[in-house]
Amino acid sequence: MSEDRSMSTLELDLDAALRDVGSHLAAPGAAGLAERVRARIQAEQPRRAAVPWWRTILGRGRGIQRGPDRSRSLLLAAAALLLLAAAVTAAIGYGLPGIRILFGPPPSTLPSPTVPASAAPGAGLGLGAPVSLEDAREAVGFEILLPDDGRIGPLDAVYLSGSRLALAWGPDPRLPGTTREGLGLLLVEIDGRVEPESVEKLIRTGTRVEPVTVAGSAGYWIDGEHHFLSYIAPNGTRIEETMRDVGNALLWTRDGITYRLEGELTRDEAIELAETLS
Amino acid sequence: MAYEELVRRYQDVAVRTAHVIAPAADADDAAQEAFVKAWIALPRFRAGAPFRPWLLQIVANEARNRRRSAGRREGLAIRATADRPSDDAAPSPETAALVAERRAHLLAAINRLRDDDREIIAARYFLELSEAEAADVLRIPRGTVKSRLSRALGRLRDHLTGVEA
Repeated sequence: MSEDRSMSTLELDLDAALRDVGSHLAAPGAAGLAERVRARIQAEQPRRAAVPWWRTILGRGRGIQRGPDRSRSLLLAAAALLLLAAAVTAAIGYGLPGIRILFGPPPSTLPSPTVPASAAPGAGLGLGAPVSLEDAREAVGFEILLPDDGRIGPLDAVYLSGSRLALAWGPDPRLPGTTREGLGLLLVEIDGRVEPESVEKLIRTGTRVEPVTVAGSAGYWIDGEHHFLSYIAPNGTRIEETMRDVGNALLWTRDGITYRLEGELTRDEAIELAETLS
Repeated sequence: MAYEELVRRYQDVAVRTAHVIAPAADADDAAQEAFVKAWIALPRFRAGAPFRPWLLQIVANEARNRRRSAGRREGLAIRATADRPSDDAAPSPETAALVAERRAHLLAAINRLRDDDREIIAARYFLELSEAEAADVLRIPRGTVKSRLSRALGRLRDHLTGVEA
């Protein structure tokens, strides 16, 4: 390769070379991927089966739930299985060829995915009364902003508590999520300004707080635990808020409204997402 | 089974996407896990929306999580395959070797780039994502894809000329 060729030739070459490499990229992991995915999905199925086979053996139709009860059930199931195996062995003797115990045939096609029935995202966090977005729009005296980002799906739940609005999205595999199961992202909008003292308090408790700018507005990036924040409402009253830590938080004020975006996003991801609010 | 067909259709681009972001040891696993998560999340998928960018965002998220836990970018390597026999008009072994060497050289330079440079180049040239898709998959504002790509290409060019000079 000559060293004295012009930059434009190099540019042209680079473009073509990159496309050439792109058409010759190795994707070794793609071999057998569909089969592995299928096996993984089928492995997910027994958890969702209506009546596990061992439950019929145990004769306990109901009442087997999660937690310690469940592990005891599993122990009982294992014991029952041993008994069953012993009974089968005793009945037919050792070493008989061709004896197979089948626990039901594997599904020939994969069943439709189902969403586990659970509470709305953010429920139980004390975020306020669940309301519809329309009702929230009427109730609060400010314009509710929503992120305009390809990865953020439709809003899943809205909670209202005084002049504080909490917008919740369910878990989405495209987002890093939050520390709370069932909650993918949380956006809080408050008619008020952050009380600087409450941010100082955070810093004193060892939480990392970094001043940032969100689309020209001043804000803070709060990395780590934060339990209390207070806001000053337009009428001068102070709004104390006990936080339910769901992840890191980006806090900023724009046109008198304070926004708090919470989740396991990185600082830059949070700022980029925050800047799409409209 | 319809989903298995979807997996087959998108497995190449999914695996490549994972390799662009995650260390080689984790990338295949990330792609596989992403397909499983996508299947579980299918009810959340908006009907009529394009499936590919949605899937690739999930792949990218899985790959990023693995990179985060791997800590270092050790073993991160996008690799080229050998020429398929049907390629071109069966070049001579000498030419094939030269071509393979040039590809490896270029890939080595790309693998040396910092994460965001490598990712934007790979997104546009290797995964052939549109600007909007690249922005979504890489989690960057749509308006900055062009400028980031041009800066990344500039740095790649510097690496290449620096090495070749």
